[in-house]
Amino acid sequence: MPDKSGQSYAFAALTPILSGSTQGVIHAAELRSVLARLNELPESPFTRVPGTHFARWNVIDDMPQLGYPTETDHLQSKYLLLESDFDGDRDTWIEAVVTAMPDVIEALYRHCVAYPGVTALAGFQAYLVKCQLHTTLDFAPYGPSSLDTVLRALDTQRKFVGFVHATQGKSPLELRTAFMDFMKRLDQAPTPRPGSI
Amino acid sequence: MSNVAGKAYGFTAFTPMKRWKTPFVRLFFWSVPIISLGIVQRLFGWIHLVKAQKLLLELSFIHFARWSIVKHSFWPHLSNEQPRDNTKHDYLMFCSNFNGTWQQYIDAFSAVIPDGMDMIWRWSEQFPGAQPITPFLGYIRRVQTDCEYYYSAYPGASATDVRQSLQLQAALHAFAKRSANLSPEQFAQAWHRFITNVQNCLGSTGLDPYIVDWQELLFPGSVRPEDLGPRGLQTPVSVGRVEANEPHQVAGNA
Repeated sequence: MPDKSGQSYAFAALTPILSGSTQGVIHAAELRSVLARLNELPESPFTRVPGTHFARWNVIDDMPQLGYPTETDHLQSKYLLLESDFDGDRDTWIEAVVTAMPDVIEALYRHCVAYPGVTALAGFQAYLVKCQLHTTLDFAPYGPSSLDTVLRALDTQRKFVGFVHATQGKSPLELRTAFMDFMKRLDQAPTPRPGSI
Repeated sequence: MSNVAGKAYGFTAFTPMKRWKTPFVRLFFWSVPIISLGIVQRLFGWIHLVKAQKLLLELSFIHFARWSIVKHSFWPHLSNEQPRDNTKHDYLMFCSNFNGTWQQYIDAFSAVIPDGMDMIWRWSEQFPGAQPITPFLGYIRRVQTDCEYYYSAYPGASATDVRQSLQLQAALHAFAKRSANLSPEQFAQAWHRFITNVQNCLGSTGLDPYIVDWQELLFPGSVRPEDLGPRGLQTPVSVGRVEANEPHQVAGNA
């Protein structure tokens, strides 16, 4: 299964959501409410998960209904889809997710069937792996470039445009000195935080 | 629902396929990376469908995309109290992270690689074909499921920005290395040649102009110059402010 393409991994897991309600809390509705509140945070919790390029959560209520002549399919459970593209391997990423946002994972997955909790990391890893949907064809265009490489490159691009503007009309000596200084500052600059570009 | 993160749009779709067609879809997906190899393209690139498969992997507006086959028996059954799911169809799940609006994306699929789209989705039930565009748009809307939460690590960058920035960074470091021992005059000449060579890699990170226009229209003054990135210096916001007390003029309604 081509889940891995170069250094990037395409992960997806469909976990069944508890049906009905517990003590008046409708599980699917509460799960959606938690996800809606996540959208209001000033910074995504995924910025704390190293190497995560993209991530999403979808609530799958049912399969699409196309009407006659296609036979209808109705799911008995709703499912929570977690899909992400990240650097490295799956187990390390799941561990990083749990470490970075245990409260978010707890708030979401306690509404899922047979959720083992995040206190035992191996149990949660096994849980997601059991629900993993493998990739048939992956399209990862940045080749061997990790997230840090991409963020540094974007930062370089942004600063470079400013540098070109600022050095127009400079004498050859000034230009060379400014360029060497620019490259030194570029090398010393910290990697931008995910989500900041 | 939140399908948008800066310039990125998270697209998710499930399309039903008759179970007997699944092996053909697998075979097709298995063949795409092989057919995209340079030698295969050189030998058989004149065949329209071979070329279409290569184009599928070269779309410049996609960050990451993936197709997964959801077998009818895949649905996880984790507890005896959970009813078991076993769908009549297998499903093709398509998840994509692209830049631009939904309509631009589907338009591009239809206009640029209709054959590639047909090859992927022709196995799905009631797929109308990628052209003409209107039934295709309608079909995609029916099989799409919206994200409840969507994250991008570089929301201000399009896929082209990322590609170009990677090219620029490699070229810049190579230039720094080879120009280290040049005299100032030689350096200045080499610098101008270098700038000419990388002028297509300068990109324009920052908010999408489309989003900026709407944001400025709805919340005047909310877009800060630093949100626009380097492009903000050159591209003015095209939509003017709407003053709160200004009466709305309706054409032909004097």
